[in-house]
Parts: sequence; C-alpha cells; structure tokens
Amino acid sequence: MNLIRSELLRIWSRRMVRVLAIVAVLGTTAGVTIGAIQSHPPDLVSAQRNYEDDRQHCLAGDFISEDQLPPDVTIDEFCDDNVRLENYANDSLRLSELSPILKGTAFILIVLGLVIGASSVGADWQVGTMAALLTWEPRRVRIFLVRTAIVLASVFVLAVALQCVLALEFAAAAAVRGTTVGTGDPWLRGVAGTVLRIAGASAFGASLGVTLAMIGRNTAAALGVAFGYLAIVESLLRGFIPKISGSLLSTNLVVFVDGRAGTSESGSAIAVGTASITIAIYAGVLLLVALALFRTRDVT
Amino acid sequence: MSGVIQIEGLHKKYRRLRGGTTVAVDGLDLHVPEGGVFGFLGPNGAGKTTTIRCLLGLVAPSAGRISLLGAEVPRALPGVIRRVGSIVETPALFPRFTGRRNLEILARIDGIGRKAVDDVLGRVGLGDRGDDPVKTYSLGMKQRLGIGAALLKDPALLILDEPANGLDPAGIVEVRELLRRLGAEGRTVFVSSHILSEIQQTADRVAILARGRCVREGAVAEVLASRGGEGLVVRLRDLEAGRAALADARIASTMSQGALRVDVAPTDAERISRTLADRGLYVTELRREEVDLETVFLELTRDQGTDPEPASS
Repeated sequence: MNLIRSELLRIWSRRMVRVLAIVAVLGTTAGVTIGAIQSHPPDLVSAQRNYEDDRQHCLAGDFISEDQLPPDVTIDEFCDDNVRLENYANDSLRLSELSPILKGTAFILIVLGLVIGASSVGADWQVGTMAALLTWEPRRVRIFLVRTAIVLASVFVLAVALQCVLALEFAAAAAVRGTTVGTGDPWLRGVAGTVLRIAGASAFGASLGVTLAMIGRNTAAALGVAFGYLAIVESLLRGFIPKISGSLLSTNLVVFVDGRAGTSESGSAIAVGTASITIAIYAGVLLLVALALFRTRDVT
Repeated sequence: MSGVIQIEGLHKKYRRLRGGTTVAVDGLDLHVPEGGVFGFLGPNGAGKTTTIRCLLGLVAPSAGRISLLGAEVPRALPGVIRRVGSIVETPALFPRFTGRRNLEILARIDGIGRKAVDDVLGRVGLGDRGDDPVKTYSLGMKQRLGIGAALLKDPALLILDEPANGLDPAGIVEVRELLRRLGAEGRTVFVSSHILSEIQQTADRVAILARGRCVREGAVAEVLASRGGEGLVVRLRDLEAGRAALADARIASTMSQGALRVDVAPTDAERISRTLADRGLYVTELRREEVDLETVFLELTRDQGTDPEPASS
C-alpha cells in the first residue's frame, strides 16, 4: 500500500502529465469554441418537415428496395437507422455526433498514454532513480506490477476525464449554438461505451510505453520502437502479407475503438471481442517479457 | 556468517558486447563489524561500486556469498532493507521535483511521515531550500540531499559510495562530522571514497581493494603500521652531497620531493644530523616521516598495476 501511495505521488507530481492534460483541455476548448462560432442554431421546423418527407420516401421503398435490404432487417429498422432527425440540422453542432468526435480523439489519447507510460519508466532509468527505488524496495516484481498498474490506471482516469471535459464543453456548445436532438438513453450508453473503450485503448498505449521503456531503459527508444512498429512495420506487413492484417495491432485497435465489427485487408471479419482479446495478448506478452528482463538484468 | 556485512568469495564478471568478459570483482572477502565507520578504498575500476551494487541487490554476483545484517543477499534482502540507507555513485534525484518531493516519494515507500522528511532536510542543511527544484541545487547540495535520503530510514547500516563527491571544503568537514557522529551512535557506516585524508580522519577500519580483491583490511592504525620501516625526512641545500655523506656512513637514503628519506628509527635523528654536519652540510629540516593512508594506498595499489584515483582533495 505504501508503494502504491509513493507511485501515485510520483506520477501525479510529474510536470509532463500536468502539462499534457492542460494542453489537451486547452486544445479541446479551442476546438469546441471554433465549432460553436461556426455553428448556427438549426431551423427545427424545416428540419422536421424534411425529415418526415424523407422518412415517408424511405418507407415507400424509394431509397432501397425490399430485396436489397440486409438479412433480418426490416424496412422500418433500415429507415430508423438511416433517416434521423438530427441529420437534418446540417450546419449545426449536433450533440448526437459526440461519439464520432470522441473517436476522432482516440489517436491523440493513445499517443498521450504511450508518452506518459514510456516517460514514467524511461525517466527513472535515465536519471538513475530506478536504482535508488530498488534500494528501498528490492522486490522487482512488486515494483514492476505496482508501477504498471498505477500508470495504466492514471492514464485511464486521465483519458476519461479529458473526454468528459470535451463532452461537457461540446454539450454546452450544442445546447447554445446547435442541437441536442437524438440524444436519448441509447445515445448516452453509446457515448459511455466509446469513452470507456478509448480510455482502455489509452491505457493500452501506456502499457506499451511502460513495457518498451522497461526493456530499452530509455523513453526515446521506447517511443521510437512503438512508432516505428506501428507506422512502418505494420504498414509493410499489411501491404506484403495481407492475410495477417487481421492480427495486426493497429487493425484491432481501430476495431476496438470503433466498437463495431470490422474487416481486415484480407476480408475476414474482426469482432470487437476478438479485437479486445488480440490487444490483451499483445499487452500481456510485452508485459511478461519486460517483467522477466527487469527481474533478471543487473541495474548498473 | 557474522558481521554487519560479510562477503565471501565474491566474483562478478560482466560480458562485453564484443565478446569476452570483464572481471569487476575477483574473489573478494570482506568482514565489516557492527558499529563505527568502515572505509572502502580502491583505485578506479577496483570493483568498489560493483561490490556495493552487489550488496544492495542491484547486481547479481557471478559467484560468492553476501550477508547484510545477517540476511543473505539477494534472497533475504527485502527483510532487512528497511534498516539500510544507501547512496550508489551519485545521488539519483528527479531534477524537476523539489528536494522535499524527492524525499517524500521515497519516504512513502516505508510509510515515513512528513516530519521525518523535514527533520532530515534540516539535518543535512537544506531546510530552507527543500521546496526548490533539485535542478537548481549545486552538486554539493544534491550530495547532501542524497545523504538525507539515506538517513530517512534511520538506518542501522549506511552504505555510502563517495559521499563527499562535489562538496566544498566546508561540506566535506560537515560530512566527516556527520559520518563520525553516525558511527558513534552505534550505526555502521560503510563508506567508499577516494579522499583518503577524509577516510583516515573518519574511519575506524578500512579495506583496500585492487583489481577486485581486498589487499589490506583492518583498523586504520594497523594498516598504517603494516607499511613498516619508520624513517626520517631530511632537507638540506645539497641533496646529492648529503646522500653521499650518509652513504659513506652506511646510512641508506632515497631522494624524494626535494628531501632525503632516511630509513632509520626517529631516535637516530642526532646521528644523522651529526654525520651531515661533520661534512659541513647543515640540515634545514629534520622530522619524523609521517606515514598516511595515502602512502599505503598508493604503494599497495601500485603493486597491483592499476592507476590509483586522485589521492586527495
């Protein structure tokens, strides 16, 4: 418990964590403010009229014929999904679009997690405080597990908090300068799921950073390897061996964050659950390798 | 195994990237009794820091046994680490954190409260700079903060690697007095240093390491006496003539640093003076040669074929 308290104090004392959080909040606020300025409150009367017209056309089969419908989908269900009132407020901020906007921030939050994770371990090696820490707590497995858990939990909380800030700012902007149409309970559940999945993906980014920095004992090396692998190695693998694209980390991360089944380059379907398991396997293998190396290597 | 620190047959080899191995410690045996200050001396590359790293479980020995406060290292180290304070090489501190925050992070691991942190900051003379970032500290202040971190646990054993590094003369005196005080309190202070005059003034016992082996160990007085051959230092204007006059009287002497060193008992000073005066050579200085740790250290480590570290500050 004392080690957990020490690790919490250490990570939240880090200026980089605070600076990144502040930059993220400022960026979010700036983006929402620009969006709000460019938004115009919708003409709900004409939007309602256009929506009802199109829905009638849709139900009449003008948009899709019965034989073109996907299996097990009725024309009513199809029209409910594709003809939505909120889509008729074109120039307005639509709170119903919050989930796609949050998904747009996923990449930034994953990188944020990666940087925090890598620096939280890399800094210790570079400054030499890892040796000092081990002269207070020589049980390396305990240090590794506590450090990893604290960093992952902190990044998860930070990612949730930043998304909540964005959501609240966006909700306020939509209420004043846009529309909140189409935001019932199903929408709220969808947003909550998106927030949690993105926070989970950020925590995965942090675990990637922690483990790579523990293996390489350096922040820059960890970030370099992570970006090099995701941007270069996986791109090459995807291009040259498409049949393994379904197992690649970036493919599964996209499916996981999106929250809907996707397809790989080879055409095989990837369910969200499968993507989650694949990501967990990547994280688990890296954690085991990093732990084994940390436990056995000399600290010089 | 007994003693606060007990090392038997310690070997540590490092594999080189291009193949082959480097032997850092080569069969070291060491016994550090409880209480007092124990000086751990040796030239660069003698294996002092590697030995300390092995003691603290940072480096795994290639062979040998280590016991710290009766606990076998590394297996039983967690059971005694709360009674061991240490600095390995330079104190490792987060430069952007304040001195106080650096100590608090460590203190929390052992559930040590803020009052103890304040006390330690005051004890190492950083009470008024504790809330400044460590990056604004001088090297000496960082060193003092490192010593403070080692003292936080109120340890029975202190292992300090070059604690006076970077300190100004006043700081060195402070550290010397602190180490003496800690040793006098009944704690065991195991201190490696290349500032031999400091060790001579501070330590009760010393071990001298060369090429990974202990070449001399014992009480400081014993180590100094082990050099043997008391002598006199004679200064006069014409050293060559003086040397010849002594040789004629069958008294062996060597020239060193503008003086003659004569291998006779100090009680023979009168005979030396008369022998020279009979030739019309008058001494400008005649004194007993002082054997210090530096001399012993240089002789012992020179014999081992390694270049000693700078001998004094």
